[in-house]
Amino acid sequence: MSENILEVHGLTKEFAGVRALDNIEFSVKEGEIHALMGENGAGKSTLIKILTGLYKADAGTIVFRGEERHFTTVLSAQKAGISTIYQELNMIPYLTVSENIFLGHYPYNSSGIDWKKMHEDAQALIDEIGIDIDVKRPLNTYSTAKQQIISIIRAVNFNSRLLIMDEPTSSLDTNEVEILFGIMDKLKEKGVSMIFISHRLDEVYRKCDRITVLKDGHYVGTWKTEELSEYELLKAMLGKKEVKLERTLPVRDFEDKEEVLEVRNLIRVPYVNDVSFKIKKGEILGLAGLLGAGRTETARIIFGCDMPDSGEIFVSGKKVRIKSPEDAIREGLAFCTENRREEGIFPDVSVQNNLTICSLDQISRGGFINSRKRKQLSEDYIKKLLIKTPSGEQLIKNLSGGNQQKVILSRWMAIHPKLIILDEPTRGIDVGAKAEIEKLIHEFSDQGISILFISSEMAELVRNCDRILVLRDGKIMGELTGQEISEKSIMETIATGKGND
Amino acid sequence: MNKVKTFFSSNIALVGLIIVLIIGVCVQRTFISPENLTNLLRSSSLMGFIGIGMTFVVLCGSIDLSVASAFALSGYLMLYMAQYNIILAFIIPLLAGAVIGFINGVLIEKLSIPAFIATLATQMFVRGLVQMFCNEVTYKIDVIPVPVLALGRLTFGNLIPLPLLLFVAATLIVAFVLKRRFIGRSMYIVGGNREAANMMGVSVPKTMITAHILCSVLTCIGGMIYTSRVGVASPLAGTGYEMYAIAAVVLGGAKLTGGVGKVSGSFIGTLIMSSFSNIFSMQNILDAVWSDVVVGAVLLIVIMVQAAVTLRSGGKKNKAQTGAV
Repeated sequence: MSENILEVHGLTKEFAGVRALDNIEFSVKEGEIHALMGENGAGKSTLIKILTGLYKADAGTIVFRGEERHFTTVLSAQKAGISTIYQELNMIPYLTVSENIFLGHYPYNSSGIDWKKMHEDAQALIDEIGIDIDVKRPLNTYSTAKQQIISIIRAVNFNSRLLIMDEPTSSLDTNEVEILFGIMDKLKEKGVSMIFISHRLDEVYRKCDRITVLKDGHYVGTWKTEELSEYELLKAMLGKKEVKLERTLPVRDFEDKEEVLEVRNLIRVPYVNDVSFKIKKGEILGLAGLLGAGRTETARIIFGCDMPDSGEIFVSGKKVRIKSPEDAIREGLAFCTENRREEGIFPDVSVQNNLTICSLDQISRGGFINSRKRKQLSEDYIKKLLIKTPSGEQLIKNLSGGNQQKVILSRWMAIHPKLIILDEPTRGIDVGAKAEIEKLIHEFSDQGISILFISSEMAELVRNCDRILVLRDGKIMGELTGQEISEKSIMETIATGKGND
Repeated sequence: MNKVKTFFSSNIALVGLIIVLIIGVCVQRTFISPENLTNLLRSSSLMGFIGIGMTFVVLCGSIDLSVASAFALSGYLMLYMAQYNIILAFIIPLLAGAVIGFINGVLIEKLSIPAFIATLATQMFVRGLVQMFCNEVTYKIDVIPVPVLALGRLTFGNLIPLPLLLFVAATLIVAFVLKRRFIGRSMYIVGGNREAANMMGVSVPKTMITAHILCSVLTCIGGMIYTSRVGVASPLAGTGYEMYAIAAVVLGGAKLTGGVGKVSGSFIGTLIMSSFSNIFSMQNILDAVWSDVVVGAVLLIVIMVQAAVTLRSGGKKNKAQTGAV
């Protein structure tokens, strides 16, 4: 029926010898909403950056509206008719709504920019959509959702024929999502095509005509939405060809162990919607789910990085109020974040200072750090965790990712925590180091430290966890224990949770 | 009621000015005498040129500490050139200003040196040049040509000084450029969100360099007027003015992080600053040495009130966001 507005053939892109995209096939029809799916490292963002002129492809062709194109700047892609709505909005917060819409395309009269016309035209565009926005007010007086809508209006006003929407719904609540969907319908009627990226399966199934799945930089396939079940989709996104079915971990019983952490009815709209669970001493509890399922967000609330809208946290049976990471550390909690580079290491600081930063009270007396004690403490852990570094004086940025991660783990072990939250502890770490870190996790567990384990790699969860909670859209979809745990059962729980709300 | 609130929060500077004027009248009735007001406005206009120039730079999220030295250099160059050619006496200082601004802009944008450090360096360098030229003493010439004298001293009808007219005209032109020309809007865009500016095809380096050039050139006009007024070029002229100018811009409601501000605000901010020193010199309750202490304290109070108002409106925004849930 309709023509392809965009065709991508054999697209390949390498970064320092690593293939981020390998021979990608992709096409979008006119007036189609096309979902682009894939987990971390699948290559979605690389593909989009090539389409919008931020990156240059190493090989392959892009045909847009019948012409072969190579966009070299964002502006050239925009002029051709491809616009992107980013999660982080690329607009000017302090300027008026109308100016944000017309930025770079100001209407002029004889004496300069014609503000009257700009306000009128902008208001007309807003009224057409039917939302309540006064274009003369600064952009930042409106909610994220409205700002997002304004950025869409801006893009469409640019005569965009293809809108790339990168997780447009991730920070919106239900009502706002509906408004956004309404606008998407209107655009579709006008023949505008959209590439829709979202980790919320419901949204993909509701709005998208076709789905393309990428995995580890490879093209997995394209399906019509109605011909692909959620389970099949998850398998395409997450599944491995050779699945190791056996679990190495013996089934352990925590029935009569003491309770270390309990979380009751944790809510932080829209990311975490009523999460409750308990962890026993020495237990390894996994949190499984797609990106954006609320795993990291839950961890951040427990550790006091974000405040919940409501909910209670108990540590060792005692109700606690955790308002900051400092409070959490005092309660014996530790948090190894998923962004090691941004939130974990101090790159230009030595290994020993990185390692002892949370346990300064142990190594100082009268407010002064005892450098001998610091050296001893860090060397203990360097030995214990087999950290490969010439010395404790080495700057941590010179260590490999795996060894950096071990320093971070040591940092937390040094405070003798009751519970340690590991968020993607093996991300960006080579296979050998991965195995070592998994071994360490079990050692910690044997020492009686409870572990909340977040990972996007299902095999990792299957191998290491005593129990797994499956999350979807901030809700717990199910719990798997012992022998029930397998990649298949996790995917099934994510998929079949659908009717539960 | 809401409208009153919006007006109040977006025109704190004006409210501040009114308060200062009331204080002035209370302290000394002659504060509002025509002679004193003329005086006040004339001294405002010297500083004012730096303030409105600084508006460009602050809007871009940058800062210029070199203005005080450019101020002194322009005065010296004007007097020096006046001995040879009256036209060059007006053109050379402005050109010098443009060069200083260009160098600042290039240091900041092309060499990625933080604005604070880059313009601190040019401040010292240019100040050094002026001291060298003046041999560290006040520089005089035998006969100052009439046009040069008129620049700072001409007064229409004994009430309206030429510098004030120039200051008002410059403010209006700057307001027009900022509101109606693309280069003016670019400064708001660059200061508001650099990344986005790039994505929208606004050239960040071009905008930044232009802002710095305009700032230095306007500063030099101020420096020329000042020199014409005092009749000599002092190697220490304008020392500390950069901070007064920045204070005036901030009093006018601009954000030092860029993207927010109006030249009308800087205009009013300048009036507030000079009203202060004027009032201070007229009262006899506090000794003159207290002047800077009081100015500093008042500045802090105003900034805190501003922050409180912005915080409150920001808080409302957040509530609106979660409230819709």
